[in-house]
Amino acid sequence: MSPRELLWADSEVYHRRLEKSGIALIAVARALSADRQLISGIDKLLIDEFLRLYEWVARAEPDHFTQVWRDPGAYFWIRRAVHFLASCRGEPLGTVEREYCTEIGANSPREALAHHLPEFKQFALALGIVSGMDITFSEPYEASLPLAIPGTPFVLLGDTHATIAGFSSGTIEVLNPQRMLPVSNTGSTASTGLRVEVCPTVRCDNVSVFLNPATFHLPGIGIPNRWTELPLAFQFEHAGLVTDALSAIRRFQPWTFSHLAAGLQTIALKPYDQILVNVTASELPGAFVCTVPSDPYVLASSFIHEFHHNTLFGIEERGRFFETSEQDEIEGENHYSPWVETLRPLHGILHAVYVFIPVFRYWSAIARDGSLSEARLGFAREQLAQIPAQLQIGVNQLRRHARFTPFGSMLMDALAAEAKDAQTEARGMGITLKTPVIGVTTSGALRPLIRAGRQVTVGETLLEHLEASDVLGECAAEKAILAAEMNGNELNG
Amino acid sequence: MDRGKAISLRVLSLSHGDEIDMMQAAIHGNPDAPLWTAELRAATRGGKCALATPMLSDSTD
Repeated sequence: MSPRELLWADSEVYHRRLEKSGIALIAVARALSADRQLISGIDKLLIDEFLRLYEWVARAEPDHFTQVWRDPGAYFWIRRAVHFLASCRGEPLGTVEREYCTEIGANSPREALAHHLPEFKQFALALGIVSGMDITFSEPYEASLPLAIPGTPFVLLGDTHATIAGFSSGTIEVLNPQRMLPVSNTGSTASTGLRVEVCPTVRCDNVSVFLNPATFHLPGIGIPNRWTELPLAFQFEHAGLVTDALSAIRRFQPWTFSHLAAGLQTIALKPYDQILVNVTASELPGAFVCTVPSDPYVLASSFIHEFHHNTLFGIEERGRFFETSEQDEIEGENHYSPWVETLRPLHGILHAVYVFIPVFRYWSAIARDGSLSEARLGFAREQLAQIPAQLQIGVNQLRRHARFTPFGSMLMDALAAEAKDAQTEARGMGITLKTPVIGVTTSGALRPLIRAGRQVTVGETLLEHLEASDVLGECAAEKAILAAEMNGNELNG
Repeated sequence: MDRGKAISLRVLSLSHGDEIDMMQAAIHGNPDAPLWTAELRAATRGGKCALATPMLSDSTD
């Protein structure tokens, strides 16, 4: 497979990640059953309950198991289980695991594992719902709410926690007080108290996506998540917008659309705030967060952007991109990035280069089509002016500071070539750095950025960004070229 | 819904024995077995792609 095929065409990347998480589940079960020394100090009943549920899950119909285990939260759960187990014998905790421990108040990997293993019950509960089979927990499952029931559109909502005894005859049995919560496609009619609601499912051809913010209600995920507690009505309100955005991808970037059915599970919509706009977490494959309202075509470009973070995370599981060096390539915020205001890790810059290539192609297709409104075409031209310059700076930064593995180097060469192609394509379309910047209002409208009574240009904002954010002077060469060539309309490598 | 191939833990345990052994070895601290893939440690911060889309006030409408 060529590097370009690996980067853009390999739809198996999503399935391999699913398989790996299944392999990890088997390994965790074997480790727990084979080595009691590793987990000394953890209640034996808790281990026995996990192994009993694992055996039940392992006997499930493949279609049912896959529906549940493909849920983004399954990957999150199994990776934490692997890392906490390894930490029990001395492996250092990772960033996510440390934050997880902080959020749940665990003081050791064993305490964290004792909290984490019972969370497997959510997958057994989901499998019961999906397969119609009853399951009773030996010890009730203390679920933190809201709980997105994996692989289903069902969301358990209420105050803070629910005590779940199992699933029986189409109902979730909860305790304190004991009652049966019906699980049906119509959802609960109640709007308060413990209840099961149904999140929207958006369909576009063979793509089917849950709009479910509760998927992001997880300890240690690293994303502020108070917005996950918003009523599901917010998701329903904007479901049509999501359909329009998926239709835009189908029309203007069919090759990405062809990956969505296999790789996209859940989108969470949130209202605008000052904290985050759109985000993807490496630990939740097939899920991302986007801010609405938005123009549907801009939202489609955000979907393409976030979805490709997911894709690259999957590609990364084939092997390391970076050689080990003195700097922390993954989390060390050491380098100028043309996309953000603060210094970024090399890994983040690599992700930005990767995700903005398909975003460029999307806006290029829209500009060539020419049939959308003038506001949207203006936004397209702005993106076509801005992205190639940013890509070139990003590639230069990686070339300057990263030490790639042979695998990473192969992919980097392909990305650099595509960044050059983008420059050539934009130039061929007559796009210049004098293109006006188009901003997006909080209601999703597209407007030129006006300052001192005139339109701000892409070249000006790129230069201003370098001056404000390249605090280490890493990109002095690009800055000089940009300043000198503002009238020449192009940024050279 | 085209979600691709279904997987089964029973089939995986037969077809991917080496990878399961490797993962189990990693859990137990075998230095030759990578615990996962070292690249994946932190959530990306897509929300900070500020320059990509300047946010304007609706009052400019």
